[in-house]
Amino acid sequence: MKKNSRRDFLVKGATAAVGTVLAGGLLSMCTKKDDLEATGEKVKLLDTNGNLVEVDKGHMLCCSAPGSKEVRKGMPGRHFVMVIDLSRCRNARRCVDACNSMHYLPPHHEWLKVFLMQDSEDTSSYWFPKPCFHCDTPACVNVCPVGATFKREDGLVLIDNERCIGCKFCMAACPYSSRVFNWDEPKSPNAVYSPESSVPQRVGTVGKCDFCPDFFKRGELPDCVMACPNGVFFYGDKNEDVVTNGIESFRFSELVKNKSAFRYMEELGTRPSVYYLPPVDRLYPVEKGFEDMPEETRKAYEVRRAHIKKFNV
Amino acid sequence: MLFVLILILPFRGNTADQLQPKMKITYKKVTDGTRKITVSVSASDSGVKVYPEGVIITVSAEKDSAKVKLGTVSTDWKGKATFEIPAGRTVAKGSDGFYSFLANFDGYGKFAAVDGSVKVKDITLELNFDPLDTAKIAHVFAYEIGAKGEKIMVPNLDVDFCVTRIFCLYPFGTAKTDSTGQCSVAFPRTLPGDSVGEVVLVARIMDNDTYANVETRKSVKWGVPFIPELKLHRGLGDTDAPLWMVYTLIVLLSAVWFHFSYIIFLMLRINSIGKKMLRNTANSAV
Amino acid sequence: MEYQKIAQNKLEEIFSHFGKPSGKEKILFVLFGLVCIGALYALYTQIVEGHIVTGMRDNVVWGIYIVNFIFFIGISYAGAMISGILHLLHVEWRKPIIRIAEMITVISTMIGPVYILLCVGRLDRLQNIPLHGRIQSPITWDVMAITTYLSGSILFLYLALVRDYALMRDNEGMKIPNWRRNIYRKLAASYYGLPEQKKLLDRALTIMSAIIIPLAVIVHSVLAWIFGMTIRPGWHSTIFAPYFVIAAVYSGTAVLIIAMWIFRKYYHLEEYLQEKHFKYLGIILLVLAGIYGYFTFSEYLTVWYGSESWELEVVYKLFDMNSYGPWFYFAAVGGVLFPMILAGVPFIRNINTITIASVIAVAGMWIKRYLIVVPTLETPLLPIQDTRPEYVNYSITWVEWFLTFGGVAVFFLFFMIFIRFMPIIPVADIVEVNDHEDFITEKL
Repeated sequence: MKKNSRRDFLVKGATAAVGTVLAGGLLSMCTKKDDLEATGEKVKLLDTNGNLVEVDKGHMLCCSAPGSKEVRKGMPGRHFVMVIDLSRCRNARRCVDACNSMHYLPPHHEWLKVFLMQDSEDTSSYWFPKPCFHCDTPACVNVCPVGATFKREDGLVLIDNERCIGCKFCMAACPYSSRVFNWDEPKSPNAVYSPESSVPQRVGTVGKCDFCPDFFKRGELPDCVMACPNGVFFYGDKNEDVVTNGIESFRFSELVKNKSAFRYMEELGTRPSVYYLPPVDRLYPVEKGFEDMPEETRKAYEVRRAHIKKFNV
Repeated sequence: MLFVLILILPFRGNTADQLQPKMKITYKKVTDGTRKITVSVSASDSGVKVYPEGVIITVSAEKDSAKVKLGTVSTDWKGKATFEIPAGRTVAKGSDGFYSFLANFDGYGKFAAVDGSVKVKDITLELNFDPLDTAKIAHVFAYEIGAKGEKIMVPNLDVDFCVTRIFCLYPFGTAKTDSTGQCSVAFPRTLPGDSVGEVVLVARIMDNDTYANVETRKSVKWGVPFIPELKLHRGLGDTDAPLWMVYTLIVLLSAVWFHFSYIIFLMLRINSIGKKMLRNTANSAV
Repeated sequence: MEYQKIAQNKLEEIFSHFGKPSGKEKILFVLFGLVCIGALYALYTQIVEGHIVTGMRDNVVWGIYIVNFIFFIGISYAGAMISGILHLLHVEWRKPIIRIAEMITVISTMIGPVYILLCVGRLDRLQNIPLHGRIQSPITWDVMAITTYLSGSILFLYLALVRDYALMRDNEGMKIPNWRRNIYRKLAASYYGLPEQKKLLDRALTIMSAIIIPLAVIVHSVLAWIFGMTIRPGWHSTIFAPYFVIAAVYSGTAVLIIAMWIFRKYYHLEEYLQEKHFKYLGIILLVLAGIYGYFTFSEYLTVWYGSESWELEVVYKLFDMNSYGPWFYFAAVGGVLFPMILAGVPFIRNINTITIASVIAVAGMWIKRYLIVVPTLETPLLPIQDTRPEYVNYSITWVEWFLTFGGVAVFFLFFMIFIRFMPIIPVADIVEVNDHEDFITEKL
């Protein structure tokens, strides 16, 4: 495992702002395809504030069309995995905000959620960021009657929301509550849809975290990874055996071995692609996550605490 | 790690409602000798980060306070622009041996003007190895080119040895150059490559005060070949169902629908028997 | 000669109960019509504004629509099981009640699937099921099973009706408009009671009553598997399929008893729907209540004893008097014990108590299905941490209520219309066929 000065810097407690600025700058040097050409062609989009903005089409061009062979096959020879270091998470929720803004999701309609977990009454609670687990034997894919959600060879579980009939069986089947239904007309921009970009969402269909294949097709890390001030998310290709959070990179096999990584609810047999590093030697006490939290959000977590007491689950 | 200079110059004729942008300028030299000057301009508009898109950035080189314009480049939607100096192009160098690059944004719309500069010395990293070396040792030779074209070894330089991965360069080792400007690191035996084991080795220096960012890439078949396993294509989660499921379904459905059709056939026979009887009785009555 | 006369008299006698609608009937008709209009308005609202107008949200993704779906498919068992099994066993007393039972089956099998369509977010994409159908999905099984089942029950009802259609065709005493007589002629399929025809029809009926039983079992098993195949507490249970099947027969028998009581009371069919029919069905209800109670006990005892925290969370919600407790005890305990006492103890048992037992059983079964669907969905593996109360707990909206009552109203309306077009008591079955020759010559 490789430690470098940036890690130490972070460990000492970098402020979120500095961390983000540096991460942004660093990635540009760190990625393989940092000099990806802009196509120059523009498409008009509505941003989350409702303003019309022009976006380079290169942002979307790399995505395969829904129903195409490529979109169901995935990137050949890859198996994307995520490693989430629970010891670093302090519920800053930057990942949630970044994900919602890049997928044009309204507040509360979260594909990436941060849970407050406590395994038993006597153990400590911890923050638990949870994207879609992109299971290798996904319960949601098994039950889909029309193949609108599918497992790709590169490990991703995606949704084709132009095929989805909205029966919600996948939502009932997913044991991790990863799926979110578009009950209302989504406020997505009028962009060219691909299951790889998941934009725009459609009313009456199911959406979820897609692991951002539109980003990694450009060799870029998803926004949740980049937005995290503490480098909680590590992302990479298991077949290449390296994961990175944009600043540090580790051999995947060594990281999961040395830090006793686990997959959430392994006993369900879903074989998730997301690994967790246990919340030991934490950077922040769990209480830090409650700072600056709006009252209503805090209430939701308090409910959880009361619940733990009652059922000891 | 990374050579970043953030310069915020005093405003130059901007009005009160103009935004004062920040400019970040980085220098990087890549394998073929191309030098890239990347300029990022951003500003904060009441807490929201905004970028001037499509604005002109003028890049120039400075030699002993004389400015020579190198060219212009326009920013993308993220306020970023990269100016490339091809390997062959000679750029004026300061008397101290340093190149000094200036980037200048004259301001546009709500964005005020801003300048930035970066000062670097040129260095060459030579990545050498024997592809058949079983120990898989990569060597780096770092040198500057002197005034007369001679090679001057650079000692005490931290060099990262990396391989390219999809999202990053993975550094498998770091070494310091010795007095001859050389250092070496062994390639890890277990690191996977592509299907034939090919990996792209990268020797780089990052964030160096004198040389900024320099990297050299070369590919070699040192990695463990990765052969994707063939997957079964009939399963619960696949498009096609397991065969036993298909057969069971066909047997069940056809058994039931066969009987339904048989019953419809019986009804048709009842109908024809009745009609025949009616015809016969009608005939016999006549 | 004898047969045709007796049969036609019977037919006319039965139809005399369904003459011009009485005042009460007209009021009911208007009332059910209004409920249907309300349901149509609710449907319109749901289609225009989307599923946001229902109480369904990300955790409770299915609400009372799926409860109604299970309920209606459940009561469809009246025809399939009662009529099918009793036919195979040649039980004589079944004859007056099979028509009611089979009509319940057809009508509820037509209404039930509408509710599953109401759960579907994109009805405009239903063609994707045949286009891209995956047979690994229990929903696909369900679509195939229910289509087959509905076809089967229509066929079954029709086969039992053929001889009555022949009687209607040949009837001269009643004023039947020509267009209706033409329809009867078509439907009667030139049946004149010839020995050969009788043999073939008997064969068809025997095959159908044999086939409708496994078909009904499969339909409800598939329905149970929609829940059973998911790894969720309260659902992921191996006994779910038989448990659902028993619940279905139980509620189907109860609805049959209620329907018989209504016909006896308001249409004065006492001559045909006698006390013995109620008593026999009451005993069947008693046995089914026992089996259902046994399954319930076995299911919750196993789960509670196993003490898996995730399972316990749901079970405690059901046992907790401040949560679903009252409903659970009413449905799972009361819904079994009361019918058993009312239909089982000889000196309390009469037509009315058996009917009350059936009403309790039907109500209990509806609530029990609600308790199977909603509390489990409200208890995902990862705890709900949401500030929006409607996402934490399910509550039924007016749209869902309207559509639910709409289904019940349509059920009654269908019955009120059908009984005027086909004899509700199978005449040909209850009048023994003695002389076929007479039958034919009489006609000509």
